Amino acid sequence: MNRLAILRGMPVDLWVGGGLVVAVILAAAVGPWLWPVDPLHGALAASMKAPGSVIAGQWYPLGTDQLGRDLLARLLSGLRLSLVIVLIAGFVSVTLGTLLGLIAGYFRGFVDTVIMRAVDIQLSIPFILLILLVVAVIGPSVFNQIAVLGVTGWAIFARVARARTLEVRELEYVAAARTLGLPTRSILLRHVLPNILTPQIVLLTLDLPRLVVLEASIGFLGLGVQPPTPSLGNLIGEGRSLMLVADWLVLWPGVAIAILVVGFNFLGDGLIRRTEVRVA
Amino acid sequence: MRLAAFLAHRLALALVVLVGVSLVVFLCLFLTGDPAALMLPPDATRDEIQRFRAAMGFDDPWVVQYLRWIGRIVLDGDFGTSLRFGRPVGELIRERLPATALLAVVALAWSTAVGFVLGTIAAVRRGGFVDFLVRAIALSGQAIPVFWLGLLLILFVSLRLRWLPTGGYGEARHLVLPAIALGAYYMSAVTRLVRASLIEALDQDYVRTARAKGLSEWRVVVRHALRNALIPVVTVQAMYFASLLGGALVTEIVFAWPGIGRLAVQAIQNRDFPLAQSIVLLAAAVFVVTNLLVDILYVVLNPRIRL
Amino acid sequence: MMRFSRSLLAATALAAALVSIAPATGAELVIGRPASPATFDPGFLKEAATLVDNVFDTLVLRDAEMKLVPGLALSWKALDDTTWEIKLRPGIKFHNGEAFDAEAVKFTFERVLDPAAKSPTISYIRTVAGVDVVDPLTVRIRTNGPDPLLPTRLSRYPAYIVPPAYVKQVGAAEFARRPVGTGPYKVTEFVPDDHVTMVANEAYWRGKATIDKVVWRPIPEATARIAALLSGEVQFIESVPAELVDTLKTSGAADVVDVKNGGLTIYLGLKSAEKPLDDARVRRALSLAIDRKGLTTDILKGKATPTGTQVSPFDAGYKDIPTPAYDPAAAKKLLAEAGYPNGFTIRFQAPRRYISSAEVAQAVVQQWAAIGVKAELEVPEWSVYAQQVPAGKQAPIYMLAWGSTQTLDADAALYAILKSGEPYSTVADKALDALLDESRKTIAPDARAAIFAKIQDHAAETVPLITLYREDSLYGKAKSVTFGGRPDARIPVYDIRVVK
Repeated sequence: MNRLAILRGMPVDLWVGGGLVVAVILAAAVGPWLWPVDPLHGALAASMKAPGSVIAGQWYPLGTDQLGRDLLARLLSGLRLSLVIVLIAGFVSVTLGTLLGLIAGYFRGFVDTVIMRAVDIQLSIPFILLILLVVAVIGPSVFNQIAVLGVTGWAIFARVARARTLEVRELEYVAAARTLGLPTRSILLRHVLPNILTPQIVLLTLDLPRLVVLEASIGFLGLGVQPPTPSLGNLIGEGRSLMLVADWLVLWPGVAIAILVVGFNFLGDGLIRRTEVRVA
Repeated sequence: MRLAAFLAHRLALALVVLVGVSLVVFLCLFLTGDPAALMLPPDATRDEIQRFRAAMGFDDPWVVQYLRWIGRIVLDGDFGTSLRFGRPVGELIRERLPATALLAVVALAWSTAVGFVLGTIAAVRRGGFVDFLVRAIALSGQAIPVFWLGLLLILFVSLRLRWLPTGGYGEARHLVLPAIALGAYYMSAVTRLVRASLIEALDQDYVRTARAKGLSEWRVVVRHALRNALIPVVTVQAMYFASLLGGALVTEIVFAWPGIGRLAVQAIQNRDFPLAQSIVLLAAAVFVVTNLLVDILYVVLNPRIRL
Repeated sequence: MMRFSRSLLAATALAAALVSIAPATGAELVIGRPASPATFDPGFLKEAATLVDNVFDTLVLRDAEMKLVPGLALSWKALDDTTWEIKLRPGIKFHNGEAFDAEAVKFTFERVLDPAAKSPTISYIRTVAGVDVVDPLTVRIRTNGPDPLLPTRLSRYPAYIVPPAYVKQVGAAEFARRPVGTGPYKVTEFVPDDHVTMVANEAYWRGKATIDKVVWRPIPEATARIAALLSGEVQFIESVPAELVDTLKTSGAADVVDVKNGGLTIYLGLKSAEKPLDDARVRRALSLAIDRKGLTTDILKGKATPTGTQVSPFDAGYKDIPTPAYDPAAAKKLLAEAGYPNGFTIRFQAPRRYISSAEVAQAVVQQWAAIGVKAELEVPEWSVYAQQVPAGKQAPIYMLAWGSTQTLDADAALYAILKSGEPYSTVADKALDALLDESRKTIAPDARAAIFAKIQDHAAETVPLITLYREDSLYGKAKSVTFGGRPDARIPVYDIRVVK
């Protein structure tokens, strides 16, 4: 009874979004285990077979690519890699941004000005160009991509964290902690941070779709993960030249991206509504 | 007087940001690679790199180098020479700018128009089936990456139906697909924005009054609410226009559109760093200037904002 | 009566046929190619000379049967072992009105031979010691030692004749953008990455071309290229991907021209001075581990032929070397003998340039994995890679294609990629060097062929590079375009007709 009420109270978008995201993450996490087909090796004899083909006793539900590799296996493995890149990069962004925003909002003054101008600067530079440029210079490894995506994404988080911090620092118990002479670090981490964390997490859910698309674009342009390792973007990039005869190579990875983005968007929207209700 | 002070402050801020941007762009290449090696073609010998390094003063401290680089750009408008084309970067950018501007303007125009119509319909019929449909369209528009939508358009419209060319430049039929691909995301954004701000406006007192006077819902919307919902949309639009380059970049690659975005990606792929660096800098500058203009316009247009 | 009417019928048919193949006047041709040219300077190309070939002339031409015929030269003869006298065609002008003469020939060769200019294709004319002007219409070309191939060398890049006054006046950079030659077409517009427009040279010495205007458009995406051909936006395309040949054939709107063995020979270059590739057993093992037949049948759909030698069957000096066997077990054994029982890890670069080349590379990586060799593949952008390779900055294993298509002689297929010190060679084999030197000094055709046979045997034995297969040349054309395809891979628009 009680449970049902909670369920009814939750917005539909939370359910849909959360469901999609959990499904995709599950697929990426246990998919390669449930579908134990090698994503990197294929049988040349099974080259470019349509979805549903059965070649030499092997079923290819999403078809194969030019090298006879199973698209489902490649999709699952690519999804996993893209998700790892995006999630770690997102974590780096939110950590960096929150810390800088916290510092800016709490100390104000000169530090604040410097950090906020840095935010303006970061937001003014076209992300994708900057990222492509840096990846081209330092090389397209997975680590480099995570680093670049993570380091360039902090600005929005810093801006929001600062705004919240400005409010929170004026709250009574924070002021009390200050007068009690608690060390600043402990005030920041114990009292201020927990109060600004929720919006940051919500923001992260809304920022993840951007990262998914960004990572896919880099892969699509051939500047990301190098073949034969699959990622959502380079799968589409590689399938592109065969689109006329093997459209499934382009369709399915795109569907995966779309599901991921819709899921995160729904989840983010739902969280916003929910957290707003709670705050109000 | 207050306005003048505000303008001065805004301008100073923009300037600080511009300097910062140029520093970041400069340091990105400076820190991540050997600038001398990056500025020369990949087949340059070690001797050539050494000679070039000395001639260009790459052994100087980075501050000196930065000042020299930015000085040339600001004072002489000299962005350097493209490695691949062997021509001044400024000239190349000027050549490609019209194509990108055309694509961006057309994409923004249709997406704004359609977004307004859809957003208004959804707001008036909020909660209903039409609203649901519009929201679904808006959602998918934001979920599909530009490059994938572009490929789908090519696959179905160009390859299957053979209605429109897969790429190219010069005639109206070349423009249709890239403009659709690029505009889809913004159409969704505008739809959501218009819907949200209209719904908010429709709850305001003056709208209720208008409604009470017996005006039809559509007249209320068009006459009263829409006008007030316009401001946030216009602001966001202007910002979108500046950031359109990101989307244009991928669109131009997919449709072989000879604009700045394609030039930039090719410059990066070809390790033509002087060209790539200049385009990043330029794009950022456009963004900063647009934002500045929007801020000013906002204040001038909206007297309710107290300075 | 019967006979009469039949011949009448035949005559009518013939007349009709003649009418229908009469070239359309003022015809225009749009050609789609994978890449945009970076430069039009024929002395400094790092790409195929396809476009340049329509703008410039060489002293010696190759006709449709691949025989050498007079071009800007009227005749050539060897005065002694190392001197050739060449009589030049009188009355020829460059597109800008500048006269073609002996000075132009001298200038053309000297600017490429200048070591400081670092021409990437200098190896094709490295045998030339100097050019002497005898009179305005006679030159003597001196060679370092006997060079039986000189007339052939004069028929291809970098030996396209350039206008000295114009080049000196505008400088090399401007010349590369606004080229002026003596050829059948003049470049009127060159917008890199967008299009090149050429119009027929009214004063061309072989007569004005029938196609008035040619537009070359870079269409990097194979699918887009095919679509453009099917929709009639372009009437001719280069590089039809093997897997799309059937699509094109069954469309009914276009034809495929398939020149068997007409393409480049794909090989894996090996930096054989570095470990572990300095060991011939390792190189042989890598070669034995590759299933060439599988690559050409399944990935290239039969549009390539496995081969054991870099030399093409069209070339003088070709020896039919059997395709290396596919024997992973033997490969594993060789690796163990060489001290790598567990294989090794190595970088491998393969550009997305040739037919399905990135896919072939991935298949090769897979096949090497079976013998324990872990190749880390990188798919570089062609424009970058094309500069890395001659500078020696590529990975220890790198995919490249080489062809003798413009020369049709084993020398062109072998020398530049096997002789130590050449820009495109990463081989250092004294025995090979000696043989290659000897081949360039030998004039008697039989003796030359014997030396080339030895070189090919030696290469098959020591595997200085891993020869994979020879591509077909695949073109797509609208049904209205006549083009048979040439073994030398040129697209001479002068010889193409557009019929109604």
